Order: sequence, then C-alpha cells, then structure tokens
Amino acid sequence: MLRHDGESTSDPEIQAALARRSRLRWTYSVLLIGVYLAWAVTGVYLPEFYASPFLGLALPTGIAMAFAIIGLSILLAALYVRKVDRFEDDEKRGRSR
Amino acid sequence: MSGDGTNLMAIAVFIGFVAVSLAVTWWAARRTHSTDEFYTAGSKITGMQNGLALAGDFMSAATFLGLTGLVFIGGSDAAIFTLGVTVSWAFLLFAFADRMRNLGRYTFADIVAYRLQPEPLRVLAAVGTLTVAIPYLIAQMVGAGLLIETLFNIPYFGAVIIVGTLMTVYVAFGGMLATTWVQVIKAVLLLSGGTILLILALSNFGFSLDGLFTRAAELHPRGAGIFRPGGLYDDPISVVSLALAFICGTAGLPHVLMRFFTVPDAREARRSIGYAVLIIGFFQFAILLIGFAAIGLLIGQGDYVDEAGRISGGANMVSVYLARVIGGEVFFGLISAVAFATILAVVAGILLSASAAVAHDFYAQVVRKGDISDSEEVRVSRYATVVIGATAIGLSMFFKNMNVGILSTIALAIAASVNFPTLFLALFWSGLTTRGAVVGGITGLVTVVVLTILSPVIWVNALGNQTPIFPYAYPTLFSVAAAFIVTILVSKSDLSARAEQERDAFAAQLVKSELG
Repeated sequence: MLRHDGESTSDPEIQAALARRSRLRWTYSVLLIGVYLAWAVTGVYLPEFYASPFLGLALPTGIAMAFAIIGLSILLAALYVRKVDRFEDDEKRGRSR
Repeated sequence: MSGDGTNLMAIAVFIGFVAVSLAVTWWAARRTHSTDEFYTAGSKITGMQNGLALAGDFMSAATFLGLTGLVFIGGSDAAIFTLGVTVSWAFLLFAFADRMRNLGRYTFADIVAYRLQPEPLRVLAAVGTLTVAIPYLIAQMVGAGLLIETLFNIPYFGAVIIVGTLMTVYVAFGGMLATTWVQVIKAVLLLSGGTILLILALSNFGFSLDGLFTRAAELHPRGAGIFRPGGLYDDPISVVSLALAFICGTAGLPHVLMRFFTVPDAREARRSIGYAVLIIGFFQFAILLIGFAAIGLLIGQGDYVDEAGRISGGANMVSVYLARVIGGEVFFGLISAVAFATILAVVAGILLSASAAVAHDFYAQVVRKGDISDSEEVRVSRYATVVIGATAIGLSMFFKNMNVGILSTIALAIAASVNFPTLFLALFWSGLTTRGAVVGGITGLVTVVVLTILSPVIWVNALGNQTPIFPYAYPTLFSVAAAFIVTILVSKSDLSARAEQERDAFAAQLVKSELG
C-alpha cells in the first residue's frame, strides 16, 4: 500500500506496528462477517435444517446458531480491545527503552 | 384501551424522564460555548459513558419496537436483522475505531477531507449526512407518534410535535454534552426495562426455552413454519443485500461516527465500542427471545392480536402489548414510557449530526472557507438544529403507516452506499483521489435512491403499483458495489498532479491514523 517511503514511514518499528494491527483487523473482520454471511445464505438453501430442533430441544437450530454468533461478536470485540491496548503498551515501553 | 393505572404510571415515568433530561440540558448548556463543546462535548466523555451512549444510539424505537414486531411476524428471518446489528458493531470496532479517532475532529467529513480537496468532499458528506438523518429521524418520530397515540390518547400529530420540540431543545441548548447524557440515562432505562421484560416473559414458560418455542409453533398461523428462514426473503441476493446494509450502513451512520470524537483518545474510542458491542449483543439476544415469547403469549388475546396474528395498532406495538399482558398496567406504563424516552434520545443524536453537517461541513468550511469565529459557528449550528427539527416534524406526518424497522433500514442503505465507500477508501486505499470520491459518492447516492423507489418497498407498497421494477427489497448489494467500482475506476484514471499529491499523502496519513 505504501507508495513512497517518507522518513517516518520507512522506520521498521512503525512498519511492524502497522502490520500487527492490519493482521488483527482483517483476520477478525473476515472471520466474523464470513460466519454471519455464511449463516444467512445457508438459511436460504437449508430452511428445514434451520427449523429443526437443536439437540432435541424445541429451540430451532438456526436460532441457536444466531445466539452463538452474537456470542462470537462479543468475544472477538473484547479480544480486539485487549490486544490493541497491549500493542500500544509494548510499543511505548519499547520506545522508552 | 387505557385504565387510570396505566396512564398514571406511564405519565409519571415519562414526565420524570423529561424533567431530568431538561435539567441535564440546562446543566450542559452552561458548559457549551465553543464548537468543541457543542459538537464533541470537549472530548471529555469516558469510554464507558460513550459505550452506553453508542449502544443507546442503536437501541432505538426501530430496534426495540420494530425488530420485536419483525420477529413476531417473520420468525427466524428477523434474526438476519438482529445478528446484522451485532456483527456490524464489531466490524466498526475492528475497522474504524482507531483511525477515525486519530484523524477526525467533529464529523466524519474531517477524515475524508484529510488528504483530499476539502470543499467538494464536505459538500458530499453533508448531503450524505442529511439523506441518512432525515429518513432516520422520520422512522423514530413515527414510532414515537404511534406509541403516544395508543398510550395517552394524544393525537399522532400532537405527539410528533412534542417529540420534535424536545429533541430540538436538547440539541440547540445542550449540544453533544446534553445529547450524550440523555442517551446514557435512556440506555440504562431501556436495558433495565428490556431485561425485566425478558425475565417476566421467560418466567411465563417456567424459564424453559423448550416451552417457549413449542408454544410459539403451536399458536402462530404459520405454525413451526416461522422457524424456517425464507418467509420474508427467499433468495440469496436479498439476504446478502440486507446483511451488507447492516455491515456497511452502521459504519456510515453520521451520528454514530460523530461519537468517536467525544472521547479523549483512540484507546477510549476502542473501549467505548467494545462496551457497545457487549450491550447491543445482549439486547439483540433479548429481542429475539422476547419476539418469540410474544407469539406464544399474545396470539388469541383478543384485544391485541387476533387468531390470524393480526396486531391491532401494527407490529410496532408488540413489545408494549407483551408488557401489559405479562406485567400488568404498571409495567405496561413503564415500558411505554421507556420506549418513548428511547426515541427522544435517539432523535437528539441524529439531529445533532445533521446540524453539524449543515453548520460545520457546509456553512463554516465550504461557504465561509473556515473564516468564521467560534461563537458564530455555534450560533449557526443552533439555527440549523431548529430548521432541521421543524422539517423532520413536517415530514413525519406523511409516513405514519410505515414499519419503522423498514424505514430505518432504508436510511441504513443510504449510509452504506454513500458515506461508507468514501470513508472506507479514504482510510484504507492510498489510490483514492478527490475526483474518484466525488463521482463515486454521487453514483452511490443516485443508485440507492433510484433502486429504492423502484423496489417493492416503495413502488408496490407505498405507490400501489402491481409489480416492482427492481425485484429486491434491499438495493444495498448493487448500490455499494456501484459506489466502490466507480470510485476506484475514476480515481485510477485521474492523472492530474493534484491526484498524485493525494496518493503520496496517504503514507503519512496511515501512520497518524494508526499510531496517533
């Protein structure tokens, strides 16, 4: 993406910091959106499966999966906040050393 | 329709909320003098407070009333909406939180204009903001009007005027500080009310999900068919289009984007959206269960829903009827008043974003080219607030019978097709140029408006034609793709010297956006 190396942007530490964030951002985004879209589109083709009782309960399988995806969103959001906070702390420590 | 107990409880809670919110506005008005204070509360809101306010922005009449009604009617299909909301907020955290906070000051136009030519992009952003804000305002005010009409027997017209006047007072006097605190108070009220409603509903089935879903299948006219996806949307194009409307739309809502600037730094911005995802996720989970519980508890209760599942007063009334059936008159009053407070808080946030677009992006930055004193800009923002507030009141009279969930989904489609592509490419693509952003933004706007008018939602349901010209209910898939493709092609073909400078400026922007 970087077309020109300015003074600050060619610094390897800054490049590493950018790469760390980029990897985390796109891994989590693609994972979560992928799961959501796959769930939504699969419902069009397998409606009977989505309506079937989950583990023998009356709870429909499609709805059980929806609950799980809500849980996944919350989990990934919490992890993301923690990880980027840690990136920042580590980088600050690295710079003051 | 209403006993004395109902009215007393609802009126007491409602008047209490209005009194507290006006006191907050008075307190905030004395601390709101500069543009910093008016647009961003001086960036002194904490992550937790902003998280509640962000969640409050989305837990609106459209979600609480509209989505519960949609679960009631559409069953499993409604989960595409509730899930889309939750996923989109997590995406907003991953993709936008840091970069927005580090680059912007008052509005999302600051980011788009960061390395591009400011004037044309601010005009585009202002248009993008207003075309989202106005339908969104109408959706919320229609919900409020119907609710008050049913609850207090005040005519729809009067109810809309009450809501419109209060929101204008909050924003014009108290700016972002009042808007945020009204939103925080309401978010706490709504979360408590929603949780009690969920617990009461579950207790009717002995806290057995099995019992809840069995009963819903027994009573619903479609039987166990409500668990089968495909009742509302049976083709993958509509489903993906709807999903995209949520993911890209949330990240293009001006009043949500504006909240990034109310916290001191990127760390607090991440924290605030993290909290918002948690709260919104829980709330969407609750709405799914409340909606299915309502099927089992309301159908056949003559006053509210007949055997065929027709709801008196429309699908938006499901939550409040449920509150009455399971919690009695007092709880019914409480939930109605909370739902109403919800709307007031949400419309205030949207109104503030619209007046910032007009006063800051358009008037101060484009017409006056930044040559304007702080106090004059605040004054212009206050005038803009009053004019937009009055316009929204006027337009709300025409849209009384629309499902508020669907109307706000249209606003989301516009946000996704106009604001999101420009903002996303400005943040992540070095090749974006002014020409590309402007032509692409206009393409997105024209495509989404034309396709929405030709779609079943307007062409058939609102205009009464037989068959839609554009077959899908949601145009987002096509309009977002059109905006992205045109923006990229025009940017690439732009060989001017100016464009070359804009591409070169990306490297420095990237470092600042990520690392502050």
